[in-house]
Amino acid sequence: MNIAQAFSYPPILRGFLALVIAGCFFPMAGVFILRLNLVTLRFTLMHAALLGAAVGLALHVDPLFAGLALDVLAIIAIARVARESGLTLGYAATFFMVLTIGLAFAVIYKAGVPSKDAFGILWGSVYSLSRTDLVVTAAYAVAIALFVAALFPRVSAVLFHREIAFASGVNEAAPRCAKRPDPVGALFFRIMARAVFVSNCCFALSRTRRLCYSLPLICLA
Amino acid sequence: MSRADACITAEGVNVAIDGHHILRDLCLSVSCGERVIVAGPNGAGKTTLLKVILGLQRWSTGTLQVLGAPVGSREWWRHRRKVGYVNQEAISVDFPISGREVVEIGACTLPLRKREKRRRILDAMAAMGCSHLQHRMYARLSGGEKQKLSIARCLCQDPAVLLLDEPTSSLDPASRREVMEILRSLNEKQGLTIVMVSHDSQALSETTWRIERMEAGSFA
Repeated sequence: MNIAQAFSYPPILRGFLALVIAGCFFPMAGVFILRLNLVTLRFTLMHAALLGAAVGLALHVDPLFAGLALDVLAIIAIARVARESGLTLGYAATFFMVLTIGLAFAVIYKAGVPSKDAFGILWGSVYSLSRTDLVVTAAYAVAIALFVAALFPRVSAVLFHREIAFASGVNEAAPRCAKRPDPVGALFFRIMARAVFVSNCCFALSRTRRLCYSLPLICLA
Repeated sequence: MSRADACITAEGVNVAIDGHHILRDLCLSVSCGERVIVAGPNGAGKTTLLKVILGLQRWSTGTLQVLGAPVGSREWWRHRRKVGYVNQEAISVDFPISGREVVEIGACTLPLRKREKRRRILDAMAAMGCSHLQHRMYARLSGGEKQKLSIARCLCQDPAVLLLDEPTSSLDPASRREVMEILRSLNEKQGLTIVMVSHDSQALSETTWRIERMEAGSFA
């Protein structure tokens, strides 16, 4: 079978078109992700999507919709926590990454959600793309291109230097000028940090306890 | 607001970062059209003062007004690009951006037509004597050239206030004199309010500037 024949199959053609569109336009967004050190955010969004899918399946809601909704909520929460606590986005994203993956497994376990279905939101085959998926991919690519074309001077100002961009009138860091940190945001962050710390300690303790029990057996063996 | 009004007013401003008091009950009043040099040893809080005025640094207590609006208020937000800022260190970038594009950053939020923006960029570069740098890559410029472009970028913003953090630190004596002369002329001809942080002994010997000395977070 040659390439022309392969493209006569709609799934292959759709997959190919989606790859070409994504390859041409998505790196534009990738540049900002790398320049603004948002790599950890990517993993957090994956885990938030997993949590969304688990919640969606537990509540019999479309997992894709629930995943997207959770991602939007996670972005808002991370941005708020990072700004109000004065931490870097990377730290805040890491905490949310741990929190969302923990919650996702808790939901999967407690609600009896098939984990394979929940994880299905993160993986898939390019050949399974529907016509709607292709249209959405193209629309997203156009949106990225329009965003970059319309706001390139402002975006390049932020990439150049965030403080300079702010001083030049770009709405880069609005809440920094707030007189006091938001007490609710700060409290939320403290609770979250302690929850992650305590859960990690409990996990470590349980492992140590189990190791202590099995140590004599290992010695005997 | 008339030019005679106070341009920057700070009363009892306190800033603490990680438990260290950077600014203590700081009071400052700068009239519109005035030129002020803020001097003081390292760690006195000079850069923090500029960042607080810009809205880049939170403060815990006190009041701060710039161009008649409390910093952080809706009104201040609307005209905050009237405050230009040249930062202390020469910015190092690892992506291709030309001198002209750097100056363009100052005009990126101005509601102007392309032609008008272009004219403003070229005028600002000419005023700073750096028109020859428009097509040069920013990353390959010297510290002094970068500093000149930074001031041109601010001028592009059409500011009422210029905050300069050691703008002459990486310049040779001739360029230093030239920049000081340009700043003086901007202040006298356009009525620009200038607040400059400086260690430069030559700048501090200027008798036509008001000199304020900072020590341990407040004015001596």
